[in-house]
Parts: sequence; C-alpha cells; structure tokens
Amino acid sequence: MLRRAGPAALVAAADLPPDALVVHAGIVGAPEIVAERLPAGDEFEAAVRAVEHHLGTPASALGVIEIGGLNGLVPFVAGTTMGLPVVDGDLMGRAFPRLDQTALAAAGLPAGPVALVDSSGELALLDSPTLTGIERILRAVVNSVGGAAAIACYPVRASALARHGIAGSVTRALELGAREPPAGEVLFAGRVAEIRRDGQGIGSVVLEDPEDVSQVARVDMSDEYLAVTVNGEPAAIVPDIICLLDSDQRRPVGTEQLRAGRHVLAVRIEAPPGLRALPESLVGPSAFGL
Amino acid sequence: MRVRDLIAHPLLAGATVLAGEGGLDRPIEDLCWYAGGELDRCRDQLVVCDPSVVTPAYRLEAVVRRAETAGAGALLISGPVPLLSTVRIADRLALPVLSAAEADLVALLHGLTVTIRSPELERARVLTRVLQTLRARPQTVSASLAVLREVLEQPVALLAADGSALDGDEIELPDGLRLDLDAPQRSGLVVLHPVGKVAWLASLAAAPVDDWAALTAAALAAAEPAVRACLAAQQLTAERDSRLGAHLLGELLAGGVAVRRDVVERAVAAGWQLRGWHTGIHLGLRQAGDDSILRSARVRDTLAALDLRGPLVERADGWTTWITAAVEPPLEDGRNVVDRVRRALLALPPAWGLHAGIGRPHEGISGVARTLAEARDAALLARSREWTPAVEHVDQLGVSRLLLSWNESELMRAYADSVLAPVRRVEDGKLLHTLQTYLEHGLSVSATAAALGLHRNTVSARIARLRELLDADLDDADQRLALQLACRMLQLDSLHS
Repeated sequence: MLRRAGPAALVAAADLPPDALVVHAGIVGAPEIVAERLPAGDEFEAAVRAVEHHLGTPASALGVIEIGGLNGLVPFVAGTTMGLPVVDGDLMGRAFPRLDQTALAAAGLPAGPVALVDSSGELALLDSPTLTGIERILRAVVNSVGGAAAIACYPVRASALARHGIAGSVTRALELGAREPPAGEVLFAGRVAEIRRDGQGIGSVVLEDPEDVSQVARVDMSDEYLAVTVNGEPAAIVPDIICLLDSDQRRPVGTEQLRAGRHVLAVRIEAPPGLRALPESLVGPSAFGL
Repeated sequence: MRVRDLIAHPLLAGATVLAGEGGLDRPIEDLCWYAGGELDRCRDQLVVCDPSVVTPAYRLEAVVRRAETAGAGALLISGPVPLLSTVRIADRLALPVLSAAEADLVALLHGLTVTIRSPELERARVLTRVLQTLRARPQTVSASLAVLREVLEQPVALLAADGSALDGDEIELPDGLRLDLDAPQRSGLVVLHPVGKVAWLASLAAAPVDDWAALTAAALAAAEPAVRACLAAQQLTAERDSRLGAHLLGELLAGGVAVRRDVVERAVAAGWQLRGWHTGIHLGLRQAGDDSILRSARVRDTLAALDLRGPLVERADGWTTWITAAVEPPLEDGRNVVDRVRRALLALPPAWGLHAGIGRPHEGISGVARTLAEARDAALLARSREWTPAVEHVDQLGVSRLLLSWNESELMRAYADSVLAPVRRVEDGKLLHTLQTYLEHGLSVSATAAALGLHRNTVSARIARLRELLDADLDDADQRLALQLACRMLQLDSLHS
C-alpha cells in the first residue's frame, strides 16, 4: 500500500500549528492474529474519522503510538490514504503491551475518545475518565471482534505532543536499521534451548552457546522481550529495547516466532532519552511484574 | 550434616536433586525460610523457598545467585521445574537445588528443623515412644520387637548369640560384625545391641545416615531391658519346666514296667500322653550353648511346625520327645517320621551340630522308656555319621544294634581292645581309621581311597603296613569279621565316652 500510494510526509510535532489536532493510529491485538487476518487498509481511516467526528475537529496529522513492531508502519498506511502527514515521533519509544504505557499517559493526558474498527467495518467508540477503564473496555471489545482491530486514540494538540511526546523516533528507527553492522550491543549469541510460557504470566526463553552449553542466557518475555540475563548476571531490562535477531539474516524474531534450535542474537538497544524519562512504574520492570 | 545426609533422611524421601549435584557434600548447619527480599545470614543453611519467590520459573535464577553469594548450603523448592539456564548455573556453582515436588513445604520445614537443629530431640521422642509403647504391650519378646518395628519403621529381629535368627524380621548380617564381643556395634546399615550374653537385638537402619543409625542404636538400647526381662522370665519358666520334665522323665524311665502311681499322675498333670503307641525321638547336640532355653523354644517350634508334637525334655546331650498314636502305627510311618525329623534338622542352625535318632513304636507307659532308649541309641549311631542331617531309625541299624548289646559284654570289649592295640596309637589313629574304612568298603582300595580323600598308593602303603602290624590275617574271612566287629565296637565305645 505504501509502495502504491506513498510515501507519506513526515513532520515534526513542533513544526505543526500549536492547535493542530494529531490522532494516533495503530492496530491492537495479538500479533499472531494480525498475521493471520491482514488488515484491509481502510479501517484505519474509518477509525480516525470516527474520532474526528466525535470531537468535531478534523485531524491535521497522524501520530505513531509505538515505534516497535507493525504499529511503527500503520500510520503511514493511513496517512497515504487520508493525505495526512505523519509526526516524526511516538508515544512509547519502543513497543509496550498496554495502551496506558505512553508518554502522554505519564503527562496525565487522556487516551480517549478511542475508536476501534475491525476488518469487516464494525466500529466501536469508547471513552472513560481513566486509562485503566479504557484499557479494560478495549480488551473486551477487541476480544469480541476476533482478537485484533484498527485503533485511533490519543487525540492531542500538536503543542502538547511536542512537549510530552517522544520526538524523532521514526528517523531514529530508520537510522538504526540502516547501520552496518547492526545497531545495538550483542549480549549473547546462541541457540534456543528451551521456551517456557507459564500461562498468562511472564515466560522465558533459554539460549545456550552450542560450543559450550554451560554458557547460557535467559530472555524473559511477555509479548515483548523484557529482560536478558547472561549466566545469571542481569544484562538488559526494560525500558531497554531488547531484540532477538536471526543469526543469519539479522531479521527480528518476535516472541511468537521462537522455535527450539533456532540460532539467534540477543541485542540490547539503549532506550531513547524520552523513554528513559518516563516513570519506572509505567515502563520499568515493575510495570511487567518483573 | 551434609546435603547428602539430609536427602537420605526419610523426611525427604520424595525429594529429588534438580541441579547442583556437585555440591552434595556441602555442610548444612541450619535452615531458614525465604519469602523474598534480601537473602543474607544463610551461610551453610538449607534455604526453603516460599513457592511465590520461585514462580514463574525465571525467578529461581536470581534466588540461586543470591543464595550462592550468601554462602547457602542448598535450596529446597516446590515450585515449577527450573529453567535450563537455572539448572546450568546451579550446576556450575555446585549449589544443590532440591525439589520437594508436591510436599507441604511448611510441614517439611518443621520436620527438618528438628532433624537439623536438634537431632537429640528427635531421638528423645523416639525413645519416649519406644518406652511408652513397651509398657502398654504384653511383655513378650515378639511384642517388644513389634514395638521397635512400629516406632522405627524398619526391620527388627532377635538373633541368637551366634547370629542365627530367633524371632522377628529377616536381617542379613554384613561382614565386620564381632559376634564374639557382647558390645553394641554396627556395620553398614545393620545395628546390633547385645541382650545379656545370649542374644542380639538387630535392626536395619532405614537411612544411610549416621544420625539415623545412632537413633536406631539408642532405640535398641532402650528396648533391651524389656527384651531381657522377657527372656529371663521365659528362661525361669522354661528352666523350671525343664527341670521338672527331666526329673519326671528320669523316674518314668527308671520305673521300667512298674512305674509308681504318683509319677504317672504327675506326668498326666504335665500334659504328657502315656497311653497309646509312642515313637521316641532323640535330638543330640554336639555343641552346647549358653542359650539352651532359647534353643529349646526354637526346637519346640520347629518340631511343632512339622507336626511332631509331644513333650520336649531337655537332656544333657540334647532333647528327647515322643509322639503318640492311639493305635499301632504302620511300618511305613517310621520312614515318614525320619523324613520329618530330617527336615526339622535342616531348619535348625547347622552350627549346633544336631543329629537325631528315632525309636520303634511301643505301647503304654513302659513303651515310653523303651522307645526313648532306642531313640537315644540310634542318635548315638547318627552322631558317628559324617553327613548331615544325620537321622537314624533304630529299625535300620541292624548289626549296629547287635553291637550295641554286645558292647555290654566285657569279653567282647577285651577282645576288641587287644586285637586292635597294635595299630591303635599309630600315626594319630590314621592307620586304624584306614583299616575301618577298608573293611567297611569291602576291601576295595580305590573305594577306600575315595572315601578318605587319599591317593590309592597311599592307601595301599597303609594296608601293607597294617598287615605287618596286625596279628590277624586280613585274607581269612573269620578273622576279618572279628576285626570289623572290633572296629565297630571301638567306634561305639568312643561315642559313649
């Protein structure tokens, strides 16, 4: 879609008129389900339009909710179809599992109204005075429409976004991806020896060095990788950005793509300053029950 | 106590070592409960982990590291299976991680606290139970053994002074025990405690732990006076019965056909059957022991088990008993009795050197004396046999019996002495023995050599020497018969003396 209609224009929040409305667009739901049921493409626009309609103000630009994963790209798809620029920045500085783990939430700004549109066009508009309320309703609605949906949320003035958002995430991501050798610090290279997911809680993947199996690393995860422990010593922990890369192709390996025997690199990328400035209770280990 | 000892303890019977086997020799001085937070002051301790601090599995890894830094002895968990990385790290640190599986950790903590902090408390508790239960039970040896077995939950037995089983469970004695010293001792898992000088209390420790063996030893020592008292009481009764029995039997045998009326009355009062047909059995004992009372009980039980039930009277050289039938038993019944007595001998310890004789069935009061006399004679013959179990029936003795009566004759004895005198003291009696064997084997040199375990040339040489020394001519049938009779008589003579 990007190739057909793109590229979308990139704009800094500070360069927008202070009163301009920015609506954040993305996908919520399990990555496996999104991979099974690809979005049609027009549901993002429908979601953004629903928020605009509710507020009675048209959006001047679209925002990125989280720079990590598929949601780093979704606003560009919506931007090309709607003819709107995309703000160079995001609300998380990486990927997080919950909608309340954002820089705007930390600043006390509301996430609502939130619009959800599923691939068959069904629309839900929801709001709540609290983030936890929104999070709860959101999960229920997403489950009822099949586990994944397009979302538009965090409608915000450009001036507030410039002050509280994490700026420059998109250019930074492009710059990191273009670097050779790959960016980040390789903490451990090895083979997946054990994958453990204990129900809903935190799972772990154990990597071992094929040359010397007494050398081990443990990567704890939920939907994202949260911490790396090499031979019992903590090596990285949220809000650090932790990636597992395929040893040969250097492509990211998501938690749902882990298979025993696969050779991977555990890589740590330092969190951007905007992310590090967020409260620990929102983005640190305790936010994940670590 | 080491980690190794701890996991051998019955309390941890269901536990497994998940990781860190290399550290099983680490010392364990104490134990503590860990429910999160700092982990200090646990040097050389067993750290029992609240399930919440090791769930999900990844959390155990940090606990392992913290425990190692604090110098802990081992970890005990009951949470999820550790991650591979945790296992590898614990292996590398040689820090044992024990899993109690589904066990209740709190109950385990309480049990282990006593075991680790104050083993003497556990010992005291066991001893108290032993003593209290002993008081509440009937005072017999079997009941005392049952109490020990119940409290210790392990096999317990009463052994004779020579280590043979008398009562209780079967316990195989390992090497290295000194049964000649009447002192408490142990070898491997077997713990022994002497009961006076006549028996041993034995038990097989349930766990290969020093503490447990010490506990067992203490329990045996606590029960020993009770067992000894039972044995002494049994001994008193048995000795009284035995003395009465021996006295009664003496009068019965001395009376011949005319037994005094009061003797008959006393015998009947003692439960002795005097009417009917009696078959006498005499069990001869080569090796007398201090524990004759224990042995008597054993002999009585063994005979009873083979349905040989009758009064058992202890005599200087063994035991006498007789079985009684209402009508005259058929001839083949004799073989049946021989067979059962043989089985009884096989069931009793070979070390006692038992042999037996059986008399013919005789009727009435005087019949008792007759059949017992026959049985005793037959036993005497059996004693000279070199095979075991040696059982002789008087019917099968034939010539031997003839000899027994001739033996009474002074003339015959004088002849035997004189004709064998030239070879009697030669070469420690070896020549005489060779002569006996040679005559018994029909003058066959090879059969004699085989019986004596000698080369036939040796036998030939000895026979040549015999022919020189003896006045009698071995080629003359009459003289040969006389010589053989003399040999037999001499054999009987030596047995009588």
